Amino acid sequence: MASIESGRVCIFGAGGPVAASAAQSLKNDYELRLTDLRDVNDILKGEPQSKDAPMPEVPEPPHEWRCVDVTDYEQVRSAAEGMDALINASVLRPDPVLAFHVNLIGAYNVMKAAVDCGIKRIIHTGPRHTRLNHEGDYWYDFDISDDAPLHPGSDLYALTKYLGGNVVRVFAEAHALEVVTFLYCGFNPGDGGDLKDGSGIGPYFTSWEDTGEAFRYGLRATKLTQPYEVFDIVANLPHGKYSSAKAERILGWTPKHNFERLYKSKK
Amino acid sequence: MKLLITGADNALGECAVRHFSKEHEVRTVGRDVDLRDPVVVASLVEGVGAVLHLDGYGADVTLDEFTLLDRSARGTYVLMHAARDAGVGRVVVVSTLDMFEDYPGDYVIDETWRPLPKQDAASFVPMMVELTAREFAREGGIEAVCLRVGALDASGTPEADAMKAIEEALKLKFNRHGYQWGLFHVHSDGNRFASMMLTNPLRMQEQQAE
Repeated sequence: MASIESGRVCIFGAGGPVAASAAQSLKNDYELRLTDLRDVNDILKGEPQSKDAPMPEVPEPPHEWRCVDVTDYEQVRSAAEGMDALINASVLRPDPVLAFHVNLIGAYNVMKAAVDCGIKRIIHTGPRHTRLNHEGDYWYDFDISDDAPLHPGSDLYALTKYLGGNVVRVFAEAHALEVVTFLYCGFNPGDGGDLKDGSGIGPYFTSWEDTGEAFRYGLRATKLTQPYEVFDIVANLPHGKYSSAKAERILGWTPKHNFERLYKSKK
Repeated sequence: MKLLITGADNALGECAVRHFSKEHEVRTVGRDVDLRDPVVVASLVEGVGAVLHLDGYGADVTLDEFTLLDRSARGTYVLMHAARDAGVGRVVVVSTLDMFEDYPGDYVIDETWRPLPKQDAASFVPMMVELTAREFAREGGIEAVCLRVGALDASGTPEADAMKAIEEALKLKFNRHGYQWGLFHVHSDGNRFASMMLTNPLRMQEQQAE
């Protein structure tokens, strides 16, 4: 299994904060083709997804920005051509029609393009919902493994990403690909931003800085044990629920920001 | 009972309409009706006691990949939502044993085995239907039974067996708490496909012995 230390990487969903973080981490070592439905200049006229969430940058050569609709296979295929790896950070949450299009069909298109272009290393992204208010969620459990099956219930975002993830897995296993899936939940700036000391933190948070760095490790991984590997990209928090141990063991990635000042009393 | 049958114009659906019309009031939906439309689907499930969601059996390969994936997943999502909201007691979804073709031919496969659909949109259709229906059942508020069937002939799932299985799926009592989801393989070749979910699942062995 070869480490992808350099080369050309296409990122789908580059307008979002996860991809923006990834691009920051990768831009000095890889040639990036950043793609999103909208042009980067239009995205930059809008607001960040949340306070402190990273925004994309206008790429300088050799990097490029391309408008790509992930629901259109030909556009995805064209964007994937000549790449050494693909990153799918595309996501759409609230719309009951587009969520299926982007999160399921988009995932299918990226995987189909990967196979057609002979690309083995793909980083897929998705959510790990910690609480969905049904008996199948893990809210009251501890030691939840990265490989614990997702139980989305009928939540639109969770379900459509779950369906997409299943499609990704099928492609990965059938074609012996090297698929790394990063799961995220909540995000904070590494220093906790405006949050007060001792204000508390939920069990699954990641700093924006660590979010981006994980992609470097995903591209360079050489110890994947199966064609489809899921990793919780999460800070080392003391709740006992989620852990970055698998990412540390297999990818060599450890979170640098663990939000101690948020969960330690001010006394 | 009033039954809604989707996929009424595919091979399985036509059989089901003929069979269940004898004793039930049947409302049928073919491929000309878009199950992705919440307004349409809400009217379809109104007053219905159970839904036979057969739309995923035998994917319409004339459709483009986008539509196949969207209809199977989002159509099932809309249907399950509407059925739950309308208080429909039971949804029977039919999937296909084709998802297991890539296992070696001498393996005996039951419901505990992971499906291995081929990597094209049509082959993903039954998986999308199953997973979506199951997640609604997991969340609660609706009961769902999934039947995986083969080709509608002696080498797969003879029509009579398929109809018997659906009958039993409609009547199945869940003797447990928690989410109400049942999954059964229905196939005439016991050397290839087994069903381990119950000692005598859906009375298929009795049927074959007659």
